[in-house]
Amino acid sequence: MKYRRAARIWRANIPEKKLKDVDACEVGNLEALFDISPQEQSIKNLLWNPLGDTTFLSVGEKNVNMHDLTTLQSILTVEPSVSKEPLFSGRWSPHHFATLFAATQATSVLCWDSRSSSSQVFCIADAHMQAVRTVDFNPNKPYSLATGGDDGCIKFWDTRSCNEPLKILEQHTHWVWSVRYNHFHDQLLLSSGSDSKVCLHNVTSLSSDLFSHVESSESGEDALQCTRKELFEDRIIKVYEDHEDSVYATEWSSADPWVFASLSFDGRFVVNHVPSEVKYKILL
Amino acid sequence: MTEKKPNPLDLNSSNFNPNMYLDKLFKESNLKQIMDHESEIVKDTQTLHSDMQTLVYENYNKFISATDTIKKMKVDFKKMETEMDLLASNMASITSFSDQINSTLRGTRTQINKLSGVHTLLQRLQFLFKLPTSLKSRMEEKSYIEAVHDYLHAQRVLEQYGNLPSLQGIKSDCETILVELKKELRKHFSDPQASAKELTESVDLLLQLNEPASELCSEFLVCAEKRLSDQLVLLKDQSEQRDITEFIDLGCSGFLSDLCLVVASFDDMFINRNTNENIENSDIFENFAATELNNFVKQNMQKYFELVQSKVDLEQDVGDTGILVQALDRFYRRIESNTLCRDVDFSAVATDIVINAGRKQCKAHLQILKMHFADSVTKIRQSLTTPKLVSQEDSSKNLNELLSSLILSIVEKIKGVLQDLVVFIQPEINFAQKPQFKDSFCVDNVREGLIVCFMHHLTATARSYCAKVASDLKIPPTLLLLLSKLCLDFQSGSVGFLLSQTDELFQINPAQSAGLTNEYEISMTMQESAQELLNYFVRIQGLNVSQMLRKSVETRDWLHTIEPRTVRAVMKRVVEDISAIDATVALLYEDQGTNTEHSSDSSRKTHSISVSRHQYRSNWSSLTPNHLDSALVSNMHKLFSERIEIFSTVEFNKISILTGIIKISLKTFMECVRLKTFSKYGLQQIQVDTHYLQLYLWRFVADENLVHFLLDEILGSAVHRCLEPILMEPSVVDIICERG
Repeated sequence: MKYRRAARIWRANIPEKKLKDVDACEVGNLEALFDISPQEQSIKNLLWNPLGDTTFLSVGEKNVNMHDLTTLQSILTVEPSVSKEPLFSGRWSPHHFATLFAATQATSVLCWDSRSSSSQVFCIADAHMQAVRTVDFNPNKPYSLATGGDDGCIKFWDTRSCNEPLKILEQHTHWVWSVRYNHFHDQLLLSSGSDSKVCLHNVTSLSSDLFSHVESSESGEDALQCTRKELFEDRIIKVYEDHEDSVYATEWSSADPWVFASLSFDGRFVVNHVPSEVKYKILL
Repeated sequence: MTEKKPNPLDLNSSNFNPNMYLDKLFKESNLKQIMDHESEIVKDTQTLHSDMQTLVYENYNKFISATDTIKKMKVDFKKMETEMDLLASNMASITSFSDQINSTLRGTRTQINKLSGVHTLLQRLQFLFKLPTSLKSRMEEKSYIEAVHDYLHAQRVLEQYGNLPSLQGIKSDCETILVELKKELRKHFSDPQASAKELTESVDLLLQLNEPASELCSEFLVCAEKRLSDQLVLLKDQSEQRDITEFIDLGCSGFLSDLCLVVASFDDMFINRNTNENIENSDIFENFAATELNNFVKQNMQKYFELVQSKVDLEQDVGDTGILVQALDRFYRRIESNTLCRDVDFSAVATDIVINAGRKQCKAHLQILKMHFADSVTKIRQSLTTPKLVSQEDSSKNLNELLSSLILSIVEKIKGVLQDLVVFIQPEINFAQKPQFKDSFCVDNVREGLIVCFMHHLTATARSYCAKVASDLKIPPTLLLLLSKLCLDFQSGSVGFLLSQTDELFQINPAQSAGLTNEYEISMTMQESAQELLNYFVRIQGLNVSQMLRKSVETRDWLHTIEPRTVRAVMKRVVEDISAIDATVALLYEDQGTNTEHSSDSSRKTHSISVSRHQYRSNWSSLTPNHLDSALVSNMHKLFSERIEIFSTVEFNKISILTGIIKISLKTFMECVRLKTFSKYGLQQIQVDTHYLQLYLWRFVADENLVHFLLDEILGSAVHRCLEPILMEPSVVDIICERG
């Protein structure tokens, strides 16, 4: 008997009037729509199409399947060509009309194009010393992504030249389990790891922020320059030590770009927000 | 009172009263005294008497002699009178005779004067007539000085009377000869064999012959230039073959002395002359001459300096610092003592050359030090990676020895370098006293450029081992440990010593000179690199151990495993590896951390928790609330225990290092366990393994509760991931572990 992970699609039946009521905490009931049964492989991840179409990806150990929500059938299957190691996680790129999706396999990151399932679009081999645990695409800047791995590093890559990372951040002291860009302001980056830390980074140099390359030399606005410079340095904004065990997932809220949540092994779910001075500096 | 009038009692006074005296005497003195007094007075009287007689006699004698003398004088005077009369008459006769002679000879004398005047004139004319031939003969003999001398002698006459037909011929002859003479003299200029003295003579003669001075001066300079450039070419040719001392000597004796001579002679000839010529031209000419000379000197000196600089650059051999310094000193002294040119201070240029030489030496030494360090590190690396043929005990002692020998060799080398370079500032050396050289050399080149730079190089090299890509795992981790201990030891011992030594030897006062890297900065950087290296070491070793654990968890089929009978081999391997690392680290880092004793309670305590969980777990299948309770219990336990930081800063002692490695490994173990699903027997195997680890790993860490906590977590995660969480009996676990 083999035990494998399965996946299930649910629908939340929220009554219309409750949707408009902000204070409502009732979700309604959940209706199970679709089961992905693990015939040959454990399902590691389910990814919704970022454009909101009715397709979703299921990342399994051996291959990645794209399913259509209406027909609930697999319309596309891609497999890693080189090695047979199990895939670990995946991510859908929001650019290029949501045709690209990446999956991590041992120490590499592979990417396919949904329009042609045969070849890989790019492959970042040996991204990290040990396994790559997580990958995230920059929502505003095409061709750039971030990965986190077991060596405790977060590396930034340009997919057009996959030999060298653009930047390496070494804030965590054990495995990095999750790396997430803020949906709107991509200089904010959340990372969490098995050292029970959640770190909020400011990576302006690799973001699409318009002001990141402005270097003004006016002497009259010294104070403003200092804060700007501070803002535009790559630095770690805050380390959240609310958890006491490994933090396995962090996500940004879809509704409010300044709020994020993190989940740790001991069942603690913490909701935090970006420090207000950073928020105002970015906005103003 | 008694001195006012003559004392009547005084024997010598005029108011002497004998009766009074006698009365007094009789009153005051006794009989004997009176008797004595009487005899005394008698004696005195006699003495006085005799004296008087003597005086009279002498007086009488004197009178008689005086009379005799006067008589003699009278006689002599009479004789003299007669003789004076005779003299007077003789003088009169002589006067009359000389008058007679003068008058007789007057006539012939005037004739003779005329004749002698004509004679000298004729001689001069003869000289003039003979001038061309004599000049010609002189020319042939090459005695130009006499030739010019002769010509000048006759020049005025020729000019004045040159129009007379008789003299015209002579004049034209002389002029042609003179032209030839001038040509000859000028030829001297271009003669490479001519010495400076001969040149001076020629120029002098030409000036006397009224050649335009500016032309002469430029031509002189041109010819001197040619000769000097020949000298320079010679120097250049010799620069490869001879060594530097000989080269400098050659330069000094050849080129520089020639140049000095040229300058001195130029000065004498053209600038400092007592000019008889027009005053208005002489100033302009002097300026002109001075500027010409300056330019000439500057150009040549520049060429010379270039040659010297290139020769000094050629000096690759570092071992001859003493010789180099001697040669430079000689060179500098020579330049300094000559004031060749008023505008340019050549000693500044010379100082520059010397400074450059010093800088090059320092750089060469720095290269050698760097290479030596790289070699030593490579050797150590090789000795660490080659399989040990000697027995284990020898190799274990080697590590500390390797380190101490490395440090010692580095320090010795640096000391040697300092000793070598201190030659540059010995008190006998002239240029060492110049503050320009001293500051630049001691502070910039030696202290900052060499010593400080080398220390930074040490830290940079050590750091570079951290930054190596993961694929370059051929670096033995022990090397990292060694390098970190090297930085630490160096920082604590040698940095201060070396800096103070340098300051002492080179008389640098750290308080005065700004911009010196002080000891604190260097120590800080060294400490940082040591820390970085140690962190990296812990990371690497942690990674190695973690790989083993990870593979062991991932490759095993935990759902279909059999009941555990033994501890898995990989656990034993892990314990062995950690012991080996412990042994290696112990060689370098002493055991300063605290190590809690393995209390007999602690194992029981852990057991109690798992037992409590066990109690809850055994009811797991029946009721979910119990499951929640057990989760609560474990969470509460976590709340009250201290939070474990997986990678805090590693301290420089063995316990801290080992703790770091163990923490990383156990955390990895936990994460891997959390990704798997276990059956009952799988869980029990994990239980056995963790118990085994607990038995053996406690002694490596500072706080054994840490190990217990982590192992508990591992077991707890395994329980959560288990389908049938039924733990083994603790006694059975003990037996299995003891057996294994």
